[in-house]
Amino acid sequence: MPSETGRKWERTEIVVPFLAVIRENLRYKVEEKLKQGLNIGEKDLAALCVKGDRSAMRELYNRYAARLSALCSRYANGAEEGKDLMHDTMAKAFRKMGQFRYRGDGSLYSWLSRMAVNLAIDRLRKEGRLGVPVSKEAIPDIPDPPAEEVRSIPLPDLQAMIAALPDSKRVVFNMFCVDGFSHREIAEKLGITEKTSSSTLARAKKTLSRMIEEYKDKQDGRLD
Amino acid sequence: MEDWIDIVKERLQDAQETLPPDDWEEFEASSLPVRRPRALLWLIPGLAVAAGLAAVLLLQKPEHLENESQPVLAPPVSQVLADDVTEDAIPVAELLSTISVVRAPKNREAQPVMDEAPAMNTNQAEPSGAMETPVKQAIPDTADRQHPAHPSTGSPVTPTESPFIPLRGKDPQVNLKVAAAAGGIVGTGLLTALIVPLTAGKSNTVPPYIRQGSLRELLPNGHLGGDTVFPIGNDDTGQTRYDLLKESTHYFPLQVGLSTRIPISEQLSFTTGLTYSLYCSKYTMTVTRDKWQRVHYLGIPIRLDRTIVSTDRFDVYAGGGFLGDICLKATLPGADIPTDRPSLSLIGAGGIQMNATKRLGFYLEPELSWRIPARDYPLVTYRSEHPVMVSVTAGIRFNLVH
Repeated sequence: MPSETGRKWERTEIVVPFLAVIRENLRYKVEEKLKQGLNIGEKDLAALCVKGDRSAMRELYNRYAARLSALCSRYANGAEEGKDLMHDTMAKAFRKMGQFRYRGDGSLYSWLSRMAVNLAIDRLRKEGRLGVPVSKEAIPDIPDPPAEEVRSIPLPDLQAMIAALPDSKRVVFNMFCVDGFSHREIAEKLGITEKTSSSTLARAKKTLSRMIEEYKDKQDGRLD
Repeated sequence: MEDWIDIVKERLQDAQETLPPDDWEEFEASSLPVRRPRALLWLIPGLAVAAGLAAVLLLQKPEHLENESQPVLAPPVSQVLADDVTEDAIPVAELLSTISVVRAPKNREAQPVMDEAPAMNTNQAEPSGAMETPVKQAIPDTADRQHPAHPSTGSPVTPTESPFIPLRGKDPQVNLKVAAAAGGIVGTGLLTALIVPLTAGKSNTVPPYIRQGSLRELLPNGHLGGDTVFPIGNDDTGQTRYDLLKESTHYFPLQVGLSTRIPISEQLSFTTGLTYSLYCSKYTMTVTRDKWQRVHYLGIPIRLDRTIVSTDRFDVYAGGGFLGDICLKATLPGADIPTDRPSLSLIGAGGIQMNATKRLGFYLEPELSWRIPARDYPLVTYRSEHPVMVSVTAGIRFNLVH
């Protein structure tokens, strides 16, 4: 066992590489965790990404890319465009990671998803696909599909139905029903009124109901 | 009753797409900037800043140059000598060739200028009592001939401290060269000194002298086989206790030196001396306190340097040669640690030297070295992990006048 004198001497000599020790406490523990494949928190992950640590960026990508890609596909026209949008989102996120503010678990994905939605809207707007026509026609009276029927639809088929919605309806539906935006937020982002947002959502729901109904009919017909 | 929209939301919200295994590589190649070494990112702007600072400092006109445009207070050597010897005009060259003896000053109090600015001339080193000591080569070269002489002593007064021929002049191009060279070397040195310690190397290399076995071997029913353990002492029963080694970190060496430069021509010099190096390594244990390994080396560099630029205050030089290192001592509490055999390294170094006096200066030398591989280096340190490494040595240098 080292003597007390020996310990004092060691403590004084620790001063020699003191900078490295400080840094170790700040960063290395996290990096080591990352190397060991341990799950590190969103806050630490984001902090490492800010520093340009590629292993952290890779970890972040692996953690969120699949989920983000599904989100992007809902807003874009198909999986290919969705993946492209997801890559743009990730690239922008790594550039802007310094602006991320940690507000508890899940805040990083929430930040990423908001960024993806904004990028999707920007892209659709640039391509002129986001014009929301004010329809004077009455909203068709189609009954809501039974919950069990909706649950029984395979996920890829359900995603395909969402993707088949017209651009504006798809965006409003996704924003309100799936991603939790309010009509006010939708109106601000899309440059429309809240009322238009509300009516577009109603029409989107009806369109989707009809698609589900047709889908079930088709399925039933096949079975028969 | 559950709303169908809630079901859609639930199913879509957590949906994930299957991405190809190489998706990250594809994304990294297409969307992220090309990776550059971290040190280089700091080095480039750092060098620019250092060069700028050096330029500002070195381009300031020295005091003696600012007075050059003013009337010379003391008459030139030739004039003083001419006044003393004869009224007739004698060609200076002829006069100088005949001079072999000048009288030394009567006492030290009579030479205030010399005290403030030691001269290049060797007669300044003479003791004050040697009133009649003849001094040969009083005006040995053209550089000194152009300096004014003190009226009471007759000795040339020169501000030059460097043993090397000053290359700096009024030409701004030369000044820029000085600034750029000095800035580059100072910048490299300072940045290396600052940055490299921050990049202390984590290492998976476990020194053989602390690998004692695995817990599986020591504890037959243990679950952590293959881990590196470290003896931490004996328990009450006299049995050796062990702790798991978590990681090892090897730190950048601390280097200081005493050096001398022996000019062999106007621009070439032979550099040698002593360099002390301390290599620290930290072994992080799982339970007990970290263990620090310290290895002390004493090195003798032998280099041939070329002076790139030389000013009154600074010499900037670069060169190459060998470094012989002897391992003085190696300590690691709790382990029987061996020492390295003497080693030989090839070195290339640049450096900047600040001359405090004519014979004493301080230097800072970034150095690139490669230790010639051999089998007798059992110690694991930053150097063993980096056979080719950049280091920085700071020290004191004794100038031998050419």
